[in-house]
Amino acid sequence: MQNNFGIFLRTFLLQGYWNFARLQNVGMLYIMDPVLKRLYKNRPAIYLRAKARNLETFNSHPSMSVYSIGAMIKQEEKLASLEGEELIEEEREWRIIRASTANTAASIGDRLFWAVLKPLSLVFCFVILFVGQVDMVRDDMLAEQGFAAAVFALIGSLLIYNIPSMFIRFKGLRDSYFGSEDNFYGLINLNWNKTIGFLKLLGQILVIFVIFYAVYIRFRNSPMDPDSIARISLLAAFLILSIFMRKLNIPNIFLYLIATVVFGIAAFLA
Amino acid sequence: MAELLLICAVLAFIELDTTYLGQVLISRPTVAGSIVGLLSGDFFLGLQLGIFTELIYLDFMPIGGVVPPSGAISCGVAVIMAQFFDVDIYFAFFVGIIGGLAFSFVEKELRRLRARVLPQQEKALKENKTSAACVLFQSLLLQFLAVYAFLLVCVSVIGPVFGGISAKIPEHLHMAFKFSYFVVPWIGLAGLLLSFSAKPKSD
Repeated sequence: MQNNFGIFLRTFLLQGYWNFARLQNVGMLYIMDPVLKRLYKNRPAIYLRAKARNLETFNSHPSMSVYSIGAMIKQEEKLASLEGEELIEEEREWRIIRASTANTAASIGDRLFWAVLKPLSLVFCFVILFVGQVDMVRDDMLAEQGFAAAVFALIGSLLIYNIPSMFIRFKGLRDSYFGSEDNFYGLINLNWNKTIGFLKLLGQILVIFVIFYAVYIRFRNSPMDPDSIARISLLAAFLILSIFMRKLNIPNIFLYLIATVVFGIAAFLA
Repeated sequence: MAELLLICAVLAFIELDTTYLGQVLISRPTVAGSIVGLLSGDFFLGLQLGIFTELIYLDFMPIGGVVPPSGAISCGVAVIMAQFFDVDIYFAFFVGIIGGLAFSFVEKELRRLRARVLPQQEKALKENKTSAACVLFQSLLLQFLAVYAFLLVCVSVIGPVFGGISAKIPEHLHMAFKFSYFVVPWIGLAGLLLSFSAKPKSD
Protein backbone atom coordinates (compact mmCIF):
# COMPACT_ATOMS: atom_id res chain seq x y z
CA MET A 1 0.00 0.00 0.00
CA GLN A 2 1.49 3.33 -1.09
CA ASN A 3 1.48 6.52 1.04
CA ASN A 4 0.11 4.81 4.11
CA PHE A 5 0.84 7.82 6.31
CA GLY A 6 -0.90 10.24 3.95
CA ILE A 7 -4.09 8.16 4.04
CA PHE A 8 -3.79 7.84 7.82
CA LEU A 9 -3.69 11.66 8.11
CA ARG A 10 -6.65 12.05 5.77
CA THR A 11 -8.79 9.81 7.97
CA PHE A 12 -8.96 12.68 10.48
CA LEU A 13 -11.17 14.51 7.98
CA LEU A 14 -13.58 11.64 7.36
CA GLN A 15 -16.44 13.57 8.97
CA GLY A 16 -15.49 16.95 7.50
CA TYR A 17 -18.70 17.13 5.46
CA TRP A 18 -21.03 15.16 7.76
CA ASN A 19 -24.56 15.45 6.40
CA PHE A 20 -27.92 13.74 6.87
CA ALA A 21 -28.16 12.62 3.24
CA ARG A 22 -25.03 10.52 2.63
CA LEU A 23 -23.28 10.90 6.01
CA GLN A 24 -19.47 10.69 5.54
CA ASN A 25 -19.37 10.27 1.75
CA VAL A 26 -17.36 13.40 0.87
CA GLY A 27 -14.82 12.64 3.60
CA MET A 28 -14.50 9.11 2.25
CA LEU A 29 -13.85 10.43 -1.27
CA TYR A 30 -11.21 12.80 0.15
CA ILE A 31 -9.42 9.83 1.74
CA MET A 32 -9.65 7.66 -1.36
CA ASP A 33 -8.87 10.37 -3.93
CA PRO A 34 -5.04 9.97 -4.00
CA VAL A 35 -5.51 6.22 -4.52
CA LEU A 36 -8.02 6.80 -7.33
CA LYS A 37 -5.74 9.35 -9.01
CA ARG A 38 -2.82 6.91 -8.90
CA LEU A 39 -4.85 4.00 -10.24
CA TYR A 40 -6.72 5.85 -12.99
CA LYS A 41 -4.28 8.60 -13.94
CA ASN A 42 -4.42 7.70 -17.65
CA ARG A 43 -8.16 6.82 -17.71
CA PRO A 44 -10.18 9.99 -16.92
CA ALA A 45 -13.60 8.45 -17.66
CA ILE A 46 -13.00 5.49 -15.33
CA TYR A 47 -11.58 7.91 -12.74
CA LEU A 48 -14.87 9.85 -12.72
CA ARG A 49 -16.83 6.60 -12.42
CA ALA A 50 -14.65 5.61 -9.45
CA LYS A 51 -15.21 9.02 -7.86
CA ALA A 52 -18.99 8.65 -8.23
CA ARG A 53 -18.78 5.18 -6.69
CA ASN A 54 -16.82 6.50 -3.72
CA LEU A 55 -19.39 9.25 -3.18
CA GLU A 56 -22.04 6.70 -2.28
CA THR A 57 -23.36 6.72 1.30
CA PHE A 58 -20.75 5.81 3.88
CA ASN A 59 -20.97 5.72 7.64
CA SER A 60 -18.64 4.26 10.22
CA HIS A 61 -16.83 5.15 13.41
CA PRO A 62 -14.08 7.67 12.58
CA SER A 63 -11.25 5.70 14.21
CA MET A 64 -12.47 2.26 13.14
CA SER A 65 -13.33 3.31 9.58
CA VAL A 66 -9.77 2.40 8.58
CA TYR A 67 -10.90 -1.24 8.50
CA SER A 68 -13.18 -0.30 5.66
CA ILE A 69 -10.71 2.08 4.00
CA GLY A 70 -7.89 -0.47 3.74
CA ALA A 71 -10.25 -3.06 2.26
CA MET A 72 -11.58 -0.45 -0.19
CA ILE A 73 -8.08 0.45 -1.38
CA LYS A 74 -7.43 -3.22 -2.08
CA GLN A 75 -10.75 -3.53 -3.91
CA GLU A 76 -10.04 -0.40 -5.99
CA GLU A 77 -6.72 -1.90 -7.07
CA LYS A 78 -8.64 -4.98 -8.16
CA LEU A 79 -11.25 -2.91 -10.02
CA ALA A 80 -8.58 -0.88 -11.84
CA SER A 81 -7.60 -3.92 -13.91
CA LEU A 82 -11.16 -4.80 -14.95
CA GLU A 83 -13.53 -3.65 -17.67
CA GLY A 84 -17.10 -4.28 -18.89
CA GLU A 85 -19.19 -6.98 -17.19
CA GLU A 86 -16.33 -8.02 -14.93
CA LEU A 87 -16.08 -4.45 -13.63
CA ILE A 88 -19.83 -4.24 -12.94
CA GLU A 89 -19.76 -7.59 -11.15
CA GLU A 90 -16.76 -6.60 -9.04
CA GLU A 91 -18.37 -3.25 -8.21
CA ARG A 92 -21.23 -5.20 -6.58
CA GLU A 93 -18.66 -7.02 -4.48
CA TRP A 94 -17.04 -3.63 -3.66
CA ARG A 95 -20.38 -2.35 -2.28
CA ILE A 96 -20.93 -5.46 -0.17
CA ILE A 97 -17.45 -5.28 1.35
CA ARG A 98 -17.75 -1.54 1.93
CA ALA A 99 -21.10 -1.81 3.72
CA SER A 100 -20.24 -4.88 5.80
CA THR A 101 -16.85 -3.62 7.01
CA ALA A 102 -18.18 -0.11 7.71
CA ASN A 103 -21.15 -1.38 9.72
CA THR A 104 -19.15 -3.87 11.76
CA ALA A 105 -16.36 -1.37 12.41
CA ALA A 106 -18.96 1.24 13.47
CA SER A 107 -20.56 -1.17 15.91
CA ILE A 108 -17.21 -2.06 17.50
CA GLY A 109 -16.02 1.56 17.45
CA ASP A 110 -19.13 2.92 19.17
CA ARG A 111 -18.79 0.35 21.94
CA LEU A 112 -15.02 0.63 22.33
CA PHE A 113 -14.39 4.35 21.86
CA TRP A 114 -17.58 6.18 22.83
CA ALA A 115 -18.93 3.79 25.46
CA VAL A 116 -15.67 2.69 27.11
CA LEU A 117 -12.45 4.55 26.22
CA LYS A 118 -13.89 8.05 26.43
CA PRO A 119 -15.41 7.59 29.92
CA LEU A 120 -12.37 5.59 31.01
CA SER A 121 -10.07 8.45 30.05
CA LEU A 122 -12.25 10.76 32.18
CA VAL A 123 -11.93 8.36 35.11
CA PHE A 124 -8.14 8.40 34.72
CA CYS A 125 -8.33 12.20 34.70
CA PHE A 126 -10.18 12.02 38.04
CA VAL A 127 -7.62 9.60 39.50
CA ILE A 128 -4.65 11.78 38.47
CA LEU A 129 -6.39 14.87 39.88
CA PHE A 130 -7.02 13.09 43.18
CA VAL A 131 -3.42 11.86 43.35
CA GLY A 132 -2.31 15.44 42.65
CA GLN A 133 -4.58 16.64 45.50
CA VAL A 134 -6.82 18.62 43.16
CA ASP A 135 -10.25 18.62 44.80
CA MET A 136 -12.54 19.18 41.82
CA VAL A 137 -15.74 17.81 43.36
CA ARG A 138 -16.03 20.79 45.69
CA ASP A 139 -18.47 23.37 44.44
CA ASP A 140 -15.95 26.05 45.49
CA MET A 141 -12.78 24.58 43.99
CA LEU A 142 -9.96 27.02 44.61
CA ALA A 143 -7.16 28.09 42.32
CA GLU A 144 -4.27 27.45 44.68
CA GLN A 145 -4.40 23.73 43.92
CA GLY A 146 -1.87 21.80 41.84
CA PHE A 147 -1.71 23.29 38.37
CA ALA A 148 0.90 20.77 37.21
CA ALA A 149 -1.25 17.84 38.37
CA ALA A 150 -4.26 19.25 36.55
CA VAL A 151 -2.32 19.69 33.30
CA PHE A 152 -0.88 16.20 33.68
CA ALA A 153 -4.42 14.84 34.22
CA LEU A 154 -5.69 16.52 31.05
CA ILE A 155 -2.77 15.30 28.94
CA GLY A 156 -3.10 11.83 30.49
CA SER A 157 -6.80 11.64 29.65
CA LEU A 158 -6.09 12.67 26.05
CA LEU A 159 -3.32 10.07 25.73
CA ILE A 160 -5.47 7.28 27.18
CA TYR A 161 -8.01 7.87 24.44
CA ASN A 162 -5.68 8.80 21.58
CA ILE A 163 -2.94 6.18 21.88
CA PRO A 164 -5.37 3.28 21.22
CA SER A 165 -7.15 5.42 18.62
CA MET A 166 -3.93 6.15 16.67
CA PHE A 167 -2.73 2.57 17.05
CA ILE A 168 -5.99 1.19 15.68
CA ARG A 169 -6.04 3.72 12.82
CA PHE A 170 -2.55 2.68 11.76
CA LYS A 171 -2.85 -1.07 12.39
CA GLY A 172 -6.38 -1.25 11.02
CA LEU A 173 -5.36 0.34 7.74
CA ARG A 174 -2.63 -2.24 7.19
CA ASP A 175 -4.63 -5.21 8.53
CA SER A 176 -7.61 -4.49 6.32
CA TYR A 177 -5.49 -3.87 3.23
CA PHE A 178 -3.59 -7.11 3.66
CA GLY A 179 -6.65 -8.93 5.03
CA SER A 180 -9.23 -11.05 3.26
CA GLU A 181 -12.70 -12.51 3.75
CA ASP A 182 -11.08 -15.17 5.94
CA ASN A 183 -10.19 -12.68 8.68
CA PHE A 184 -12.96 -10.21 7.76
CA TYR A 185 -10.42 -7.71 6.47
CA GLY A 186 -8.48 -7.65 9.72
CA LEU A 187 -11.52 -6.99 11.88
CA ILE A 188 -11.18 -10.30 13.72
CA ASN A 189 -7.42 -9.97 14.29
CA LEU A 190 -8.14 -8.44 17.69
CA ASN A 191 -10.51 -9.86 20.32
CA TRP A 192 -12.71 -6.79 20.68
CA ASN A 193 -15.16 -8.26 23.19
CA LYS A 194 -12.35 -9.32 25.50
CA THR A 195 -10.70 -5.91 25.23
CA ILE A 196 -13.99 -4.06 25.86
CA GLY A 197 -14.82 -6.39 28.77
CA PHE A 198 -11.43 -5.83 30.39
CA LEU A 199 -11.62 -2.03 29.98
CA LYS A 200 -15.13 -1.99 31.45
CA LEU A 201 -13.98 -3.95 34.48
CA LEU A 202 -11.05 -1.57 34.93
CA GLY A 203 -13.44 1.36 34.58
CA GLN A 204 -15.82 -0.02 37.21
CA ILE A 205 -13.01 -0.57 39.72
CA LEU A 206 -11.61 2.91 39.19
CA VAL A 207 -15.02 4.63 39.38
CA ILE A 208 -15.81 2.89 42.67
CA PHE A 209 -12.45 4.13 43.99
CA VAL A 210 -13.17 7.64 42.68
CA ILE A 211 -16.66 7.76 44.29
CA PHE A 212 -15.41 6.64 47.70
CA TYR A 213 -12.39 8.92 47.59
CA ALA A 214 -14.52 11.85 46.43
CA VAL A 215 -16.93 11.32 49.35
CA TYR A 216 -13.95 11.15 51.73
CA ILE A 217 -12.28 14.36 50.53
CA ARG A 218 -15.61 16.18 50.24
CA PHE A 219 -16.56 15.54 53.86
CA ARG A 220 -13.24 14.86 55.66
CA ASN A 221 -13.16 18.29 57.31
CA SER A 222 -16.90 18.54 57.92
CA PRO A 223 -18.13 18.18 61.50
CA MET A 224 -20.85 15.59 62.05
CA ASP A 225 -23.56 18.19 62.45
CA PRO A 226 -27.10 18.09 61.02
CA ASP A 227 -26.01 20.17 58.01
CA SER A 228 -23.30 17.69 57.00
CA ILE A 229 -25.60 14.73 57.54
CA ALA A 230 -28.22 16.42 55.36
CA ARG A 231 -25.63 17.01 52.63
CA ILE A 232 -24.38 13.40 52.76
CA SER A 233 -27.99 12.15 52.63
CA LEU A 234 -28.72 14.40 49.67
CA LEU A 235 -25.63 13.16 47.88
CA ALA A 236 -26.54 9.50 48.54
CA ALA A 237 -30.09 10.15 47.34
CA PHE A 238 -28.83 11.60 44.07
CA LEU A 239 -26.37 8.76 43.54
CA ILE A 240 -29.23 6.26 43.90
CA LEU A 241 -31.62 8.40 41.86
CA SER A 242 -29.05 8.73 39.08
CA ILE A 243 -28.61 4.94 38.95
CA PHE A 244 -32.40 4.48 38.90
CA MET A 245 -32.90 7.02 36.11
CA ARG A 246 -30.07 5.54 34.10
CA LYS A 247 -31.84 2.17 34.24
CA LEU A 248 -34.87 3.94 32.75
CA ASN A 249 -32.63 5.40 30.02
CA ILE A 250 -33.26 8.95 31.23
CA PRO A 251 -30.15 11.10 30.65
CA ASN A 252 -28.35 12.71 33.60
CA ILE A 253 -29.04 16.16 32.26
CA PHE A 254 -32.74 15.76 33.01
CA LEU A 255 -31.95 14.77 36.57
CA TYR A 256 -29.93 17.98 36.92
CA LEU A 257 -32.76 20.06 35.46
CA ILE A 258 -35.35 18.31 37.66
CA ALA A 259 -33.10 18.86 40.70
CA THR A 260 -32.93 22.58 39.88
CA VAL A 261 -36.73 22.85 39.66
CA VAL A 262 -37.32 20.78 42.81
CA PHE A 263 -34.73 22.74 44.83
CA GLY A 264 -36.27 25.97 43.52
CA ILE A 265 -39.75 24.97 44.69
CA ALA A 266 -38.38 23.72 48.02
CA ALA A 267 -36.45 26.95 48.55
CA PHE A 268 -39.56 29.05 47.89
CA LEU A 269 -41.68 26.90 50.22
CA ALA A 270 -39.10 26.88 53.02
CA MET B 1 -13.64 42.85 24.23
CA ALA B 2 -10.79 41.74 21.93
CA GLU B 3 -9.95 39.02 24.45
CA LEU B 4 -13.54 37.79 24.40
CA LEU B 5 -13.60 37.70 20.58
CA LEU B 6 -10.33 35.76 20.57
CA ILE B 7 -11.62 33.25 23.12
CA CYS B 8 -14.79 32.73 21.06
CA ALA B 9 -12.63 32.11 17.97
CA VAL B 10 -10.46 29.59 19.83
CA LEU B 11 -13.58 27.87 21.16
CA ALA B 12 -15.14 27.76 17.67
CA PHE B 13 -11.96 26.12 16.37
CA ILE B 14 -11.90 23.62 19.24
CA GLU B 15 -15.55 22.78 18.56
CA LEU B 16 -14.59 21.52 15.08
CA ASP B 17 -12.92 18.58 16.81
CA THR B 18 -16.31 17.38 18.13
CA THR B 19 -17.30 15.99 14.74
CA TYR B 20 -15.63 17.52 11.72
CA LEU B 21 -11.89 17.72 12.26
CA GLY B 22 -9.75 15.21 14.08
CA GLN B 23 -11.95 13.89 16.87
CA VAL B 24 -8.90 13.69 19.12
CA LEU B 25 -11.03 14.90 22.05
CA ILE B 26 -9.56 18.38 22.53
CA SER B 27 -13.23 19.38 22.33
CA ARG B 28 -14.18 17.25 25.31
CA PRO B 29 -15.53 19.64 27.96
CA THR B 30 -12.75 18.89 30.46
CA VAL B 31 -10.08 19.98 27.98
CA ALA B 32 -12.03 22.73 26.19
CA GLY B 33 -13.18 24.22 29.51
CA SER B 34 -9.61 24.24 30.84
CA ILE B 35 -8.30 25.95 27.70
CA VAL B 36 -11.02 28.62 27.83
CA GLY B 37 -10.42 29.00 31.57
CA LEU B 38 -6.69 29.42 31.03
CA LEU B 39 -7.23 32.02 28.31
CA SER B 40 -9.75 33.94 30.39
CA GLY B 41 -7.62 33.93 33.53
CA ASP B 42 -9.03 31.14 35.73
CA PHE B 43 -7.82 27.71 34.72
CA PHE B 44 -9.45 25.88 37.63
CA LEU B 45 -12.83 27.45 37.04
CA GLY B 46 -12.64 26.15 33.45
CA LEU B 47 -11.46 22.74 34.63
CA GLN B 48 -14.32 22.35 37.10
CA LEU B 49 -17.00 23.57 34.71
CA GLY B 50 -15.51 21.27 32.07
CA ILE B 51 -15.54 18.21 34.32
CA PHE B 52 -19.08 18.91 35.53
CA THR B 53 -20.28 19.44 31.95
CA GLU B 54 -18.64 16.23 30.79
CA LEU B 55 -20.23 14.27 33.63
CA ILE B 56 -23.68 15.64 32.88
CA TYR B 57 -23.35 14.92 29.12
CA LEU B 58 -21.99 11.41 29.64
CA ASP B 59 -25.15 9.75 28.33
CA PHE B 60 -25.00 11.43 24.94
CA MET B 61 -23.00 9.54 22.34
CA PRO B 62 -22.53 10.70 18.73
CA ILE B 63 -23.75 7.41 17.27
CA GLY B 64 -25.13 7.43 13.74
CA GLY B 65 -27.23 10.53 13.10
CA VAL B 66 -27.53 11.51 16.76
CA VAL B 67 -26.55 15.14 17.39
CA PRO B 68 -25.59 15.42 21.05
CA PRO B 69 -25.47 18.78 22.86
CA SER B 70 -22.09 20.43 22.42
CA GLY B 71 -19.98 19.98 25.55
CA ALA B 72 -17.32 22.39 24.29
CA ILE B 73 -19.88 25.14 23.76
CA SER B 74 -21.60 24.44 27.09
CA CYS B 75 -18.49 24.75 29.20
CA GLY B 76 -17.07 27.55 27.03
CA VAL B 77 -20.22 29.66 27.44
CA ALA B 78 -20.27 28.88 31.16
CA VAL B 79 -16.65 30.01 31.66
CA ILE B 80 -17.23 33.17 29.60
CA MET B 81 -20.36 34.01 31.62
CA ALA B 82 -18.53 33.51 34.91
CA GLN B 83 -15.36 35.33 33.92
CA PHE B 84 -16.55 38.21 31.74
CA PHE B 85 -20.03 38.91 33.12
CA ASP B 86 -19.51 38.01 36.80
CA VAL B 87 -22.30 35.44 36.69
CA ASP B 88 -22.21 33.07 39.68
CA ILE B 89 -20.68 29.72 38.76
CA TYR B 90 -23.92 27.77 39.35
CA PHE B 91 -25.91 30.12 37.08
CA ALA B 92 -23.08 30.11 34.53
CA PHE B 93 -23.16 26.31 34.45
CA PHE B 94 -26.91 26.32 33.87
CA VAL B 95 -26.62 28.91 31.08
CA GLY B 96 -23.84 26.83 29.52
CA ILE B 97 -26.01 23.69 29.55
CA ILE B 98 -28.87 25.58 27.88
CA GLY B 99 -26.36 26.97 25.34
CA GLY B 100 -25.07 23.47 24.54
CA LEU B 101 -28.59 22.14 24.10
CA ALA B 102 -29.56 25.10 21.90
CA PHE B 103 -26.51 24.57 19.71
CA SER B 104 -27.57 20.99 18.93
CA PHE B 105 -30.54 22.51 17.04
CA VAL B 106 -28.16 24.77 15.10
CA GLU B 107 -25.96 21.77 14.41
CA LYS B 108 -28.92 19.79 13.04
CA GLU B 109 -29.76 22.67 10.71
CA LEU B 110 -26.15 22.83 9.51
CA ARG B 111 -26.23 19.12 8.70
CA ARG B 112 -29.54 19.56 6.87
CA LEU B 113 -28.03 22.47 4.96
CA ARG B 114 -25.09 20.32 3.92
CA ALA B 115 -27.52 17.62 2.79
CA ARG B 116 -29.44 20.18 0.70
CA VAL B 117 -26.27 21.48 -0.94
CA LEU B 118 -24.84 17.98 -1.41
CA PRO B 119 -26.35 17.26 -4.87
CA GLN B 120 -24.61 20.34 -6.35
CA GLN B 121 -21.37 19.50 -4.57
CA GLU B 122 -21.54 15.89 -5.77
CA LYS B 123 -22.21 17.03 -9.33
CA ALA B 124 -19.19 19.34 -9.22
CA LEU B 125 -17.05 16.57 -7.76
CA LYS B 126 -18.17 14.00 -10.35
CA GLU B 127 -17.43 16.46 -13.15
CA ASN B 128 -14.03 17.31 -11.66
CA LYS B 129 -14.99 20.97 -11.28
CA THR B 130 -13.96 20.96 -7.64
CA SER B 131 -11.96 18.76 -5.29
CA ALA B 132 -13.03 16.93 -2.16
CA ALA B 133 -10.45 18.97 -0.22
CA CYS B 134 -12.12 22.19 -1.37
CA VAL B 135 -15.60 20.94 -0.37
CA LEU B 136 -14.30 19.88 3.04
CA PHE B 137 -12.59 23.24 3.55
CA GLN B 138 -15.85 25.09 2.78
CA SER B 139 -17.69 22.82 5.19
CA LEU B 140 -15.18 23.42 7.99
CA LEU B 141 -15.25 27.18 7.36
CA LEU B 142 -19.06 27.19 7.49
CA GLN B 143 -18.98 25.24 10.73
CA PHE B 144 -16.38 27.53 12.28
CA LEU B 145 -18.30 30.67 11.32
CA ALA B 146 -21.63 29.24 12.53
CA VAL B 147 -20.17 28.31 15.93
CA TYR B 148 -18.42 31.68 16.18
CA ALA B 149 -21.65 33.53 15.38
CA PHE B 150 -23.58 31.40 17.86
CA LEU B 151 -21.05 32.18 20.60
CA LEU B 152 -21.13 35.88 19.83
CA VAL B 153 -24.93 35.91 20.02
CA CYS B 154 -24.78 33.99 23.32
CA VAL B 155 -22.28 36.30 24.95
CA SER B 156 -23.71 39.53 23.55
CA VAL B 157 -27.32 38.70 24.50
CA ILE B 158 -27.29 36.39 27.52
CA GLY B 159 -24.26 37.99 29.20
CA PRO B 160 -25.63 41.55 29.50
CA VAL B 161 -29.16 40.25 30.26
CA PHE B 162 -27.87 38.12 33.12
CA GLY B 163 -25.65 41.00 34.27
CA GLY B 164 -28.72 43.22 34.39
CA ILE B 165 -30.98 40.84 36.31
CA SER B 166 -28.43 39.13 38.59
CA ALA B 167 -28.95 41.68 41.39
CA LYS B 168 -32.69 41.03 41.27
CA ILE B 169 -32.51 37.22 41.40
CA PRO B 170 -34.12 36.13 44.70
CA GLU B 171 -31.98 34.36 47.24
CA HIS B 172 -34.21 31.28 46.91
CA LEU B 173 -33.12 30.81 43.32
CA HIS B 174 -29.47 31.21 44.27
CA MET B 175 -29.95 28.44 46.81
CA ALA B 176 -31.71 26.17 44.32
CA PHE B 177 -29.08 26.56 41.60
CA LYS B 178 -26.26 26.22 44.10
CA PHE B 179 -27.70 22.97 45.44
CA SER B 180 -28.29 21.50 42.00
CA TYR B 181 -24.72 22.45 41.03
CA PHE B 182 -23.51 20.71 44.19
CA VAL B 183 -25.13 17.41 43.14
CA VAL B 184 -23.83 17.44 39.54
CA PRO B 185 -20.59 15.46 40.17
CA TRP B 186 -22.47 12.83 42.16
CA ILE B 187 -25.11 12.40 39.47
CA GLY B 188 -22.27 12.15 36.95
CA LEU B 189 -20.17 9.68 38.92
CA ALA B 190 -23.15 7.34 39.35
CA GLY B 191 -23.75 7.57 35.60
CA LEU B 192 -20.07 6.89 34.98
CA LEU B 193 -20.23 3.73 37.08
CA LEU B 194 -23.24 2.46 35.17
CA SER B 195 -21.69 3.27 31.81
CA PHE B 196 -19.15 0.52 32.50
CA SER B 197 -21.66 -2.01 33.80
CA ALA B 198 -23.43 -3.10 30.59
CA LYS B 199 -22.22 -6.43 29.28
CA PRO B 200 -20.64 -6.41 25.77
CA LYS B 201 -22.89 -7.73 23.04
CA SER B 202 -21.56 -10.24 20.52
CA ASP B 203 -20.61 -8.85 17.09
